Amino acid sequence: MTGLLQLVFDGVVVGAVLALAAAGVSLVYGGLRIINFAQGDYMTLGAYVALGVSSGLRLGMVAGVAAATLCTSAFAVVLEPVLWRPLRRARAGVLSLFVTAVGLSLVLRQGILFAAGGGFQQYRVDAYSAWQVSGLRFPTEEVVAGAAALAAILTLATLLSRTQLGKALRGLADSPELTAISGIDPDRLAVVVWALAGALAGLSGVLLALVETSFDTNLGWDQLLTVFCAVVLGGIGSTYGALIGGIVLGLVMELATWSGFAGGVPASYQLVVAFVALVAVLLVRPTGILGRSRIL
Amino acid sequence: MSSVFNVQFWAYVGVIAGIYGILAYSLQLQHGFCGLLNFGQVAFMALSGYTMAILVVKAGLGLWAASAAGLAVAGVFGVLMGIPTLRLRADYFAIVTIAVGEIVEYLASNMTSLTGGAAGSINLLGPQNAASYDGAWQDAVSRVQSWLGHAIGSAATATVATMAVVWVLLVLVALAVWFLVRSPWGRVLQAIRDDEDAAAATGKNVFRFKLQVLAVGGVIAGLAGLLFAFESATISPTDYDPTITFYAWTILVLAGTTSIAGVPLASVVFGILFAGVLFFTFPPFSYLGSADRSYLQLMIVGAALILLMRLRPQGLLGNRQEMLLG
Amino acid sequence: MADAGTSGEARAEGGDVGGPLLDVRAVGVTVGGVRAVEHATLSLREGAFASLIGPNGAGKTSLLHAISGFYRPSAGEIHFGGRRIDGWPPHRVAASGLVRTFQRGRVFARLSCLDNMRLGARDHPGEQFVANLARPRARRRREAEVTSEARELLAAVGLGPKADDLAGTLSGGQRKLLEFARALMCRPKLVLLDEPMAGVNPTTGRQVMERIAQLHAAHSLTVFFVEHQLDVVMAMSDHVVVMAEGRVIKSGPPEEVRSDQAVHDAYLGSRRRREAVGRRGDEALAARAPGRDEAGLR
Repeated sequence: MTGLLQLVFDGVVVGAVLALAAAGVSLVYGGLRIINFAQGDYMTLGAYVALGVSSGLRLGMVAGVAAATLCTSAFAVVLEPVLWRPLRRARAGVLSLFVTAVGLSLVLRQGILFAAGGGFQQYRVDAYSAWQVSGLRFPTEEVVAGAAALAAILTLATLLSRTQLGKALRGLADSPELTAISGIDPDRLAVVVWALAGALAGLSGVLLALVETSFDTNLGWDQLLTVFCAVVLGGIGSTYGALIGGIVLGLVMELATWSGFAGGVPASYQLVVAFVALVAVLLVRPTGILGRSRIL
Repeated sequence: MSSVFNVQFWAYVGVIAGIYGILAYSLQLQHGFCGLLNFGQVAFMALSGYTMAILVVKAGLGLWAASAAGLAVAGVFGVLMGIPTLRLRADYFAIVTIAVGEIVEYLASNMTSLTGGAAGSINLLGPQNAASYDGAWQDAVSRVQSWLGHAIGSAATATVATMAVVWVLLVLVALAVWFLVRSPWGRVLQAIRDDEDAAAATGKNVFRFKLQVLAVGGVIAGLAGLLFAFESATISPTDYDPTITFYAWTILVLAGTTSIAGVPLASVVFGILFAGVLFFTFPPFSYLGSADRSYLQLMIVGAALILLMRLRPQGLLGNRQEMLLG
Repeated sequence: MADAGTSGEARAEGGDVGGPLLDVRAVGVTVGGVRAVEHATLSLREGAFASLIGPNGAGKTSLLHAISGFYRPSAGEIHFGGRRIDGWPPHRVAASGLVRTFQRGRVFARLSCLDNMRLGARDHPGEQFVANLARPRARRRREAEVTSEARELLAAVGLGPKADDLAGTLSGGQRKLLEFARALMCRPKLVLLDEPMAGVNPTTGRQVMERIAQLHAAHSLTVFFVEHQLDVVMAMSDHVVVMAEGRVIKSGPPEEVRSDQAVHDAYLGSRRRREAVGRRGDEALAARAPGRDEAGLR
């Protein structure tokens, strides 16, 4: 039983971290029809910025997390007028936008490799400190990362449900035409979307690096599929859905390894489990958990 | 390691470019002419390559029979993948296919008893016994090599012969795609691409046509997978890396999604672009280590993609007016 | 509430020659959790040139989607030519001789007009994967038939000179005509038209309608169309079905419908309601052309 509880804890932490990145993907797709293939590399960027600030400049981990969030957000915002706006003006299709994102992903990942080098990195945190409660082990950085991720999820959900901006963003995903006639400036909205998506990716990246304790330049790239699975699971374009999808997926992947569950699936098959869960959900609900069905 | 004027090196680039070109044709049939966004095409390559290798090594089948079986498996997998996923909206379908590509690579690495695991096909008979499957292919290539020898003498190396075989197959695939899309069957595919609901309203069973195009595209991708396996003599899961699909997409976009003649041209351009970066041995690149230069290589490929989308979203031979018709 | 035949549930009879071609019985349609059609009952006789009218949000287009198989009705039955077709997928409905068009004039933009037309044909061996490869002579023979038929029909709607142009280059009115002509290629018994005059200027709209009426006569078709231009509806159709709030409230010859109090109330009531509610978000799209519905009844 303690084994199961431990897995639930791990699943929620990993799931909450992935949910942040997935929410970013969802916002960008819902608002701009861009399948952001570079989201994983935005996460990696965040992790390395935090490394530079916390270890390189010795400013501590809190400053590192803040810097990761802000810098990744700024980076995503800068690319909007440089890269995406001209494409939007040229009426680029989903495919052109996707290929551009693939290109960006390559440039970014190789650029980080070029700048930071290969090999594994660690933050200057005590990887062995943990709270022990009746047989359960809660490593400090996992607790902190999980708490931070959940706090960010709540903030985002509040932002989306309570503010005018959030409502506009959600409306955009449901019906781009409707937003177009409602008088919102698309360029301004795009900047907001990228700022949010970048911040979410950066934060998710540094938290993921904390949870995994050591990381390299493939940190985010390796999680990209899981992040996309979370988005589809929750319903494409639904940011709430992506948040839920991320947590569900984290739980499913961890719980599948539980020995009480037919001996447990080997950890190397976690991704397969995630995919099977996705297909199972789509068979029942073709548009994911919270996705809208198509209306002619 | 290689010089700009090394024929062998460029012949090898030609082999790889040709294989990616064939893969690009499978995407062209599915996307350019039927509107499907399939980002997991590498799975079909891996399935056919692995089926062939396993049947030759473990079942003792002849190479050509095993290859036919490999193509058949790729085709059937298209149908199997399509049945649950084609009901999804186009964007869901696209993302699920990415997952399919990853999962097949994943299974190939982890199902060691069937596939030889991460070590690849060489491990199919266990660690003591190096397995190989490409004897008949080598024979065929040396026969082609001796024919070519009559024409071009000592330039006809095994690599040049392989390139010749690959490009002949590429042309055959191009002709097949050309015939299919100009036939009434291909006309229905294009109708589905332009407006799925209107196609259904004219009495076309959209689902069935999409299943068929997934199967046919799967067989073409399977051919690319076989050639990949033949060319490299042994395959491992990482050989069928999901990024291969994206390279093929690059070629397709470079060509223009509906330009059949554009694909070979784009394959060549892609090959030169990809391999050409190796020759950046002049300053400032010469100050970099080889690892850094390989990072730079992929960065330049990525930047080229971005630039292409900015400057010529319709591809080298595509028609921009036609692309924007709605 | 749902009793057919009571005062608010007039049963539509398009005539009594040889039984109805289309018979819609107590159909309900739910779209995205909203009941778009409550309880629609109507029937059409063969050869009719009938129209479906009603205020915005009456459920006309949803009913059309249900008849053509794009929506699955949540209640009721739909019979066509003596066969029950509700629950059939759209392509099967179309293949059975009931073809529809769309509001936006949906053509295959990157194919030529001629190819658009050829796609409308039924029973083409070349469209089957195996027969396409294995029976080249049958394919070629049918292709030749289909092509000459397509050229004839293109000429009949006045698009003859456009045969080799990409359909995406056509104007709105031309697209509507091409779509209608494409529908005729499969020799349908019934054609459903979703607002054939919408989105084109009034003169073009009238020309489109005239062409449709000519072909209706020439091909012994049955036509059932949704339209907002009530003057045209009243002048051209021989039978009018009126929907309001998801129900069929009246059905009969134009002169009878024109003088019906319930129809007037439905149109005026819906306008008052809309004024009271104002422009709610979900009505924003529908309300972009306010007043259009009432044009002919004022």
